[in-house]
Amino acid sequence: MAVINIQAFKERAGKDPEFLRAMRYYDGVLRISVGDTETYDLKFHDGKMTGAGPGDAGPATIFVKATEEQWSAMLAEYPKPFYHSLQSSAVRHDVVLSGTDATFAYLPALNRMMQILRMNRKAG
Amino acid sequence: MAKIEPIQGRYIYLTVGGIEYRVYFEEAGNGIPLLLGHTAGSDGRQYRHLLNDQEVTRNFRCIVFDLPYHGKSLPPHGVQWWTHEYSIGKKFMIDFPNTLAEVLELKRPVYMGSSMGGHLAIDLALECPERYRATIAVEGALQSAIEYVDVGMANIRREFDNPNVNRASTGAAMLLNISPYSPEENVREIQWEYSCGGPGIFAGDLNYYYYEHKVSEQEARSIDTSKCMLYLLTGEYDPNTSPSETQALADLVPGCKFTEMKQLGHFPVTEDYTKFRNYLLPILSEIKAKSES
Repeated sequence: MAVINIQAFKERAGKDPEFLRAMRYYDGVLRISVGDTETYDLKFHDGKMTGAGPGDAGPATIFVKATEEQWSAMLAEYPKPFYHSLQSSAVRHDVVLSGTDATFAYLPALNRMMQILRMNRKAG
Repeated sequence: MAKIEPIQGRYIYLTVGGIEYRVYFEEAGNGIPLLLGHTAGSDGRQYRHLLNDQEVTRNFRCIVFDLPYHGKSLPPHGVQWWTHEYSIGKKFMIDFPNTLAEVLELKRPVYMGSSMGGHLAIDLALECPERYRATIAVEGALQSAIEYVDVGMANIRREFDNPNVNRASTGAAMLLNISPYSPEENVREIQWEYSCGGPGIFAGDLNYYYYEHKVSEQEARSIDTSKCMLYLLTGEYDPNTSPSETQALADLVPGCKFTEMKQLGHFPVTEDYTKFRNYLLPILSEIKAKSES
């Protein structure tokens, strides 16, 4: 089973009031990468999710890149220290997280994204 | 019948560094004075569970203050604070609880603080042990974790004092410090408190937390725990001051006591007070017994 199921994420996130509100006004791509070969793009226009699928080579203002092992650690029900958040995973475990203003601005959405990915993984 | 908590809030005027501040503080309980210092960018609301804990308040007069520019302690009048960038330093951090204790005429209080307040517990034990019977550093160390120190103030301000970024993001960022075992409502309460901070205050507090608090090995060895006992409590999920960082301090301070707190993070007092008190109560009992002997 793939560590990220982007269609399951799209379905759950598209009905999630917290995620939808936290993404308000966002224009651009939120990119999720698993290792060097697996990339997904979540596309937004004025805060609305307009697409979710395999990534392309275009620019992404917000991105998260981690190995499959790192994603598994971050998406555990009770992650080990310090895999419990994207930021601590970046500083303490070398997960790659963009450092753009948009990344900081949309941290509430990124936190919720991780919760949704965790719920999906638990549901199987 | 009205449901009212046994916490009283008042304002007191303190002059620190030649500036008069109108300071908000809350208190509950009777007995040995226990001053409580909050984390960077937050305020005394963090201690609301402790102030309602009768096992603590039956023997301790718990006093929690909001530092100036935090919580209900407004910026001072008579100072054009809006003309310069806020930043807090070690001298002010030390002078503030000392002045509060003097004005309230507290006799050798205990001081407990968390995060930057935890670092301060170490600085107080080092710099003015005659004033405190004990200090309790929650998430304290010689210095904050080097991975974060190396980020630098410019990048800290870019993340936490940035006109492009809503302060809700400061709250969201605190997730990095919170144990995944914490009840969700407590996580959201911490984030709420951080989202309420004044502009630039959290970033300015980090000047002390990351840079001005730096205890040398020689200084750590010189802490006299026979004068002022130093207790150290650190959560296993705190990446900013991890248990290994606190252990490095504990290895140097003769007679101090360190306990790693399982399933807790950087905000144990608020993350899950029911867990935190299991570590705190034995310390308070020991302080009480020593005070009576």
